Order: sequence, then C-alpha cells, then structure tokens
Amino acid sequence: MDDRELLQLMQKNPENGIRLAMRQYTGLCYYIVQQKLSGQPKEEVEECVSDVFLAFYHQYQKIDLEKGSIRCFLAVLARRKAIDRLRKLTGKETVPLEEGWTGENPVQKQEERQRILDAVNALEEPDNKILILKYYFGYPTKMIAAAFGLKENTVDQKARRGLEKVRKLLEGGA
Amino acid sequence: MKKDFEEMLDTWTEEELKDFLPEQLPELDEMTRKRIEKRTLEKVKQEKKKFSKKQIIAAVICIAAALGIAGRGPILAAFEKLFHYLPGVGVYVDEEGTQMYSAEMIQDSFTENGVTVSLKNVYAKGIAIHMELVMEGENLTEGILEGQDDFDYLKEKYQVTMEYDGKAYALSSGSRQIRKENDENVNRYSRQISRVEYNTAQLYTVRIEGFETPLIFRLVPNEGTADPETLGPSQTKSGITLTASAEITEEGIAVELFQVYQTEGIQNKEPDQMRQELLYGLDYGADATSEDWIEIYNSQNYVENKDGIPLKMVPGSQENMWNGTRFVVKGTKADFPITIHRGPVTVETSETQNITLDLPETGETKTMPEQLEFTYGTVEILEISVSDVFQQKVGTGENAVEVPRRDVEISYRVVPKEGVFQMYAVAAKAPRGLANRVTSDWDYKENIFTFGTDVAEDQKTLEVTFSDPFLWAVEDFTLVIDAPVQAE
Repeated sequence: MDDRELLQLMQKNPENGIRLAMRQYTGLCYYIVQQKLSGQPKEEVEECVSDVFLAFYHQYQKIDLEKGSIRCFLAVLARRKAIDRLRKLTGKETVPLEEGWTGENPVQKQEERQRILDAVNALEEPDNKILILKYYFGYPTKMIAAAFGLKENTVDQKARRGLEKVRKLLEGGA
Repeated sequence: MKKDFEEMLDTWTEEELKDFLPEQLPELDEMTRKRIEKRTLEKVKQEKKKFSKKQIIAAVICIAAALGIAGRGPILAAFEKLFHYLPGVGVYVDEEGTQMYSAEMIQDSFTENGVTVSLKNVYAKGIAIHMELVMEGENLTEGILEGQDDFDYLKEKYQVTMEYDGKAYALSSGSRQIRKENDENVNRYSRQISRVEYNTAQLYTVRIEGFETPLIFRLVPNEGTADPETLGPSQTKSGITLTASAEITEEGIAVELFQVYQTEGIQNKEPDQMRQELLYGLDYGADATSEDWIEIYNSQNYVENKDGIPLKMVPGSQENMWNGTRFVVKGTKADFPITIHRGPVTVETSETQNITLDLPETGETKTMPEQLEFTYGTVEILEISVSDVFQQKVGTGENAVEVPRRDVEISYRVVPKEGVFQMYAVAAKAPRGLANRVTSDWDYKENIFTFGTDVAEDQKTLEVTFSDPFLWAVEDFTLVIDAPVQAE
C-alpha cells in the first residue's frame, strides 16, 4: 500500500489505517525513539512510540505528499516526541519543543539547519547517509553494514570520521 | 561532538531529512510491536467519545481482515500463559510455578479535596511490578483549558511517583481510561502502571501530585493456586472455568469475571470486546450492518438479581482485562444473590502450519485443492491469482532501478470443526513483497479471507504460514454469587 492509499484509508477507517501504518513503520519509529531515550526503561520507549502513532492519528491530514512522505513525517514526529519525553523524564521541561521550533527567530533556525545539512552533504556517499542513519534514525551498526554491504567496523570508522569532518566544517575548517 | 551533533539533528524538519530516508525499514520483534499497537489503539479508542455500533462493526471487520495478512509471530499471550493474575480475585499459577508477588496494602486509598484515590491490583511478576491507580471525584478535569485533551491534562495534573530503595521514580501510565458524567466532567480516571525492576524487600510509597497522603504497600510472595475454582464463586464446563467476584460501589454492583482454560494451548484472546461482539453477529447469521446481534449478545451476557430481574449495566463501565472483564450493573446489596449469565467468548491457540503453494502463470487464477487441518478447524485454500508483470522502482536517486514484479492474491476459507472450541479465523503470512502493497479483505458472510503480496517474475512457488488461530469457545455459564466481596 503506497502513501496515498494509506492516507485514504486513514480517512475512511482511521483504526485500520493506523494499524497498517504501525505494521510498516513501528520499527522505524522505535529505533529513532530508542536512540534518543538511550538509558531510559523500555516501557518509556514503547509508550513514546505509542504516542507517536497517536499523534499521527491526529495529524495525518497535515501530510503533503507533494512535499514529503509518511515515512518522513513519522520520522520527524518520532524524534520530536522522544525529545519531549526525554525532557520530561530528566526534568528539563524548560521549553516545549514544539514552541522552540515554531517560536521566534525562524530565519535563524532555518539557516542553522541548512548549515548542518550542508556540512552533512559535504561528505561523500554513503558516509553522509551512514551518519544520519546512525545518529538520527538510531540504526544499529549491524543493520547499516548490511544495508550498504560493508563490514561493521568500516561503518563505525566511517561514522567516526564523518562526525569529525562535520565538526570541522561547522567550525569553519576544511 | 556526538551529543552535539545529535542535538543539531533534533532541529531538522522533513525538508532536511527527506534525502536521507532509509530504503529498508527496520523490523521490530512482533511481541513488542503488538504491545505498542495495542497501547496505541487503546488510546485511540479512549479518545473516540461516541463510537457508534455501526462504526464498531466496520472497525472489527477491518481488524480481522488485517489479521489475514498480518502474521503475528510469537504471541503475547504465549508469554502470559505462564500464569494468570486475576485482579480482585486471586492468583492462579500453572504447573510452571512462576513466582509472583501480591501486595500487602498498608494504605490503599484516601480521600482528599473530594477526590478518592485508590491503588488496586498490585502485583509483581518477571521483571515488572504492576498496579492500577484509580481516582474518583466530581470533576477531575476542573481547570482544563478549552480544546485541551483530557488525558494530557490529567496526566500533567496528577503526576505519579513511586519511592523505594531511597529514590523516587516518575511513573508513566500504560492503558488509561476515563469516565465522564453527562459527557462533560471526568469523574473517574484509572491508569495501568508498570515499573520495570523492583526490590521485593522494600516498602513502596506512591505519591500523586496535588495530594499529601501517600499510598503504601509491600510485596509478599504469592504461591497462588493451581485450582482456579478455589479463587471464588466459579463454574467449570468443558475444561473452562469461569470465576467471578462482585463488590458494592457507589455506582452499583461492580462485577469482575475471569476465564481460565484447562485445555492445553487454549488461552484468552487479548481483550477485544469489539471482535467478540461482531462474532456474535456472525455466529447468529445477522447482517453485520444491522444491530440485531447486539440483542443476541445481551440476551446471553447479563446479570440478574435474586428475583430474576436483569440488572442494567452502567453505561461506559465495561473494561477489558487480561483473562476477563469488569463492568458495573445498577443494583445494591439487596439484589444478592445475583446470577451471572455468560455466553461464548473468543480464545486462541498458537498452532502454526506452513504450506508451499505453486503459483499459476502470469495473469492467471488457479483454484486450489489444498487444505490445512488445524485442531479446531480447517483452512481451505480457495484460489491463487497472479497479476500481469509491473515494474517496481527499488532504491532512490542514482541507485534507483526498476524490477519486474507480479502481484499475488490468495483467498482462503476457515471452516470450524464441531466441539467446544471452533476455529473461525487464522493469521496468514507470506514474505513481504518489494512493492510493499498491503491488500486484504474479509467476506464475513462466507468467512473468506483474501491477502496479497508481490513476487519476482520467475518465482514459481510461495511459502505461506498460517498461525495463531482464533477460536470461538461455544460454552455458556450461569454463575451465582451469594454475597458481595466486603471492601477491606
């Protein structure tokens, strides 16, 4: 079932739609949340993933398939929910994340995001993808190695070096 | 740098992320996935304020249809069968003799500011301690902002911590339920809470924000019983034991009833009232778009008082639990002895069968002679069809290629065998295709399931697994409860 069909199903029968969405994307969201909530109990991770899909249930109509995809929408949603939960768990509920994103200085924030994107894109493929799979999507090294046909220690090495290059680029170095 | 980089990525939106999406989605173990799915659907269900009966039917059809393509792997119930905890009644331990702990309550409830808070069903097993926190008051959501979600508000307002080992831990809730008065004020809020890791030698102090009085308990070993009939009023028929308890509450008579199966491999289906209700409709041949079956359901599941007068259920009071259900009927102590009438329920087993099906030629449909015999029913493979070849894009960007694929669709009928346990559905699973298309259908009148996947152009056979049958336990019970349980 493609994204359009799934969104249509969400409209017609949200519960069936969310079941199918969860069947496809729970793993994706779980790894993202797990990485962000590293060290927290498993039940917190599961509760958070559940909240991701509850938010999807409420917000799926916001998805614009001309610009994005369900996969992408859920990935960002999972990250946000995990950050929110982490803040609550660690007592750092100073600024709600949503507010942080939609608050003042949007231009500055966009520039900052672009700067990071440029730095990541400056890496060669697949190094840039490995970096994001590891640090955004929370994929274990073994899974990344299998996806790119690399050895696990090669993946770790590329991630380490990629991170160092990004650091230098962001600091203004080469 | 790693931490800094991760925090930088926190700010990314879909725009930045879109070119880095993984092509291959990670799999999650089926038990965890099902647990999350169940929890999510519970939350969704809670939020749907008015769920019409017709909507219920539609949802159930889709749920069962989805099961046709799902394949659920090791089921949660298989893990749970080590023992059953019967809240409010007792502990039933099977021959595995798993150690459990129940709670010795030192302070199990209090009333402050017009709100009664109680801690119920505290027990520990495996690596976790479980409990149910119930709050009752005139308007628990007083102060909620317009448009604010009830659950979000309650969660924020009544945060829970538990102290033991000299530390305080914030507790999060699993399943949550609310009850409203006049569809407005929340007057009951219950939360299922679990805490992984515990120390049985400690006192546990549970605190709820906004209240001074704590709830206190300690865990004590509970050896349980291997005989469910000793748990309370019970009736055993065809290897099924129904046991129940009743308690007088402000709303009426709260009934909890549980079912334990002595037949090996049989266990309660996860709480799923909707599916059970629909199947009453199927069983009696009612059109699923009509509501006639609800009358049939109600005619088999009710409570009557000592004079044989049916007691009305308090709307919205029914809650499903592992191994049973809880509901409140209008009545008082004067209505005892009460009689509980209980009709058939849905159960499941973990039986699995595999079959290799020969695929027909491209663009053709083949009638299949294959049958798979399960203990309580037969799966008849009816048809298998293969579509014309289509091109499926695989990969992204420069690495994208198109590969020829064909859609495969399989239909099967589930035919129950005679007996107390009758199989009516089974999950079917085939290797996921590249197109990742999920098709499914359920002709509920004929009990025919259809599911699909896609295969390579030259693939000749397809491996299909049928597992975890759903059974209809066609036994009924009449259980008398002489007196309500006295509140401690």
